[in-house]
Amino acid sequence: MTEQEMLLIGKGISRVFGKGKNQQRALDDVSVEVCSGECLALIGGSGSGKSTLTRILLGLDQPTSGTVAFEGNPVDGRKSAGYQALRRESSLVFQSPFTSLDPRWMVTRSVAEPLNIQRKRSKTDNLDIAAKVRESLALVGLDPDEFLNRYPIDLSGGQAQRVAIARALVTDPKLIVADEPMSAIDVAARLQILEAFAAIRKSRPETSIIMISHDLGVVQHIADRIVVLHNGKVVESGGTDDVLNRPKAAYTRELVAAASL
Amino acid sequence: MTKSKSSSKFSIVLRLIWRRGEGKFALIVLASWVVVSLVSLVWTPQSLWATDGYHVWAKPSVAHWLGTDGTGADVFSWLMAGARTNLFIAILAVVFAGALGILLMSAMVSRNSALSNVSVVAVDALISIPTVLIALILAVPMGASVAVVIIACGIGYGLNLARIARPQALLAANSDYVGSALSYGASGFSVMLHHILPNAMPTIMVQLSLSAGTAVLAESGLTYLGFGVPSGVPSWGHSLATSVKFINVYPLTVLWPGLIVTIVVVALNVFGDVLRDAIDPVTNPELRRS
Repeated sequence: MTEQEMLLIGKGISRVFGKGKNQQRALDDVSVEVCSGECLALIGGSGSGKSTLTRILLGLDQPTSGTVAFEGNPVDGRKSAGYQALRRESSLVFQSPFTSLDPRWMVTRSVAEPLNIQRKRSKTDNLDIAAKVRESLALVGLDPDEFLNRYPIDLSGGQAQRVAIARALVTDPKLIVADEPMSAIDVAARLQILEAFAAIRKSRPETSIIMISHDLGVVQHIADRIVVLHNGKVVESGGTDDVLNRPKAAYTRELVAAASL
Repeated sequence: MTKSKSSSKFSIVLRLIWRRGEGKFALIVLASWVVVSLVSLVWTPQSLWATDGYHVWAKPSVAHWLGTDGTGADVFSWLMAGARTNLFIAILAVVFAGALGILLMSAMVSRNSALSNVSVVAVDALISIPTVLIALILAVPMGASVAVVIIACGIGYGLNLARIARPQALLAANSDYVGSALSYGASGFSVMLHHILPNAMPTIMVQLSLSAGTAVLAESGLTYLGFGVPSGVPSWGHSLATSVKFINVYPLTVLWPGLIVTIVVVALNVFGDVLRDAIDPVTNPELRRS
């Protein structure tokens, strides 16, 4: 696949926090590519640099060195074409469903928020926001008539996370970044989230997903490719089947062994 | 449709406040305060300036419902007229404190770290100056006036509000829902207006209603000290200041304004609590279902 066909490319990304003796290297020469329509899983232990890498790939943090390009446009500061395109074409799903929804906003307002922001920014008024909100909720398996006027406090963990996913879908983004979306909810609700992501992949095959997770079971179900991070470095990457069944790096073998315990 | 929806929410909030005993008390007291203030603009039982030298410190009677003061003026009429001055002071002090407090709170939780650090230090430093001292400083160029009370209370309570509301605002500012809005390109102002402020509002409402009560107390204190409402302008503080010297001889004339100030301050304090519970959808299931 050529660089032009890649949706998101991060090359030689390093990120150093602090100065002098307190300097900490969170990422060290990491390169990642995301193709259109693929689901890439970033896996690794706590502090491996998964979240830092994601923030940089989304333009929400600046790398100390290295470059990021979205649809061939460099993401280099708020004014850059790549950054502006990322704001339009990417969405985030957070770890905790309850802290990612405003407790004082109804579901309908939360899900519609990205569209309202985009409408304000582009000064267009030809969006049928209500219809898009209903469509997104239905896609993640929530009945719009039942859930539109609910507040987050009246939702279960799984329902709240699906509302957050519906919000991420409402702008028809080319890229969805899910930061451990199943780690803060119970096992039964995880299945609902997995089903929601499976539904997205089926109905919107052109949408790319970056899934950050340390749950290899989840990754196995959903990811096309896996990038394994350890101490801020890529230790292994490849197809899901290869990485999970025939791991080459010692750290990946440890992760797989720990998951099968 | 939106209008009818908001009016139905208003009636739910009102019903919820009324359902609680302390809410009923607060609503009755505050509504009476407003009504009496308005009525006093057009009618008082006796003219404020009608003095009767033969009936000074008179006991309550048909002609003078709460008696007369040392000049023979009708105490009830002065308390009625004082209600509007105190209402005016409480409203303006709360508006001033609210505007200043919200502005400072916004600066304190700003994503611009220089602005937030400077404003946190500034508020921490300025909050150590007592309201009375602010009034004293203002009284030098402005003299004793209603404006001194309003500005001094506005500054003092605004600083307090900013400091008390900051943790709640900070919690919202660092939340994922704000992170999500920013990632879609929402402006800092929009995030402040739609996410941070509404989430800090329960704390702000309680604090502002406490401030209204404290402004009524401050008016009495500052007027007594001579920095507040000038002589000749009716206020509860003025009624207290003119009669307190004679408390041993004519205690009733001190009792009435003291009692009114106490009841109104308690009502304002209680009102903040019940209003917070009633208007917050997180704590109010009835509002969520509406």
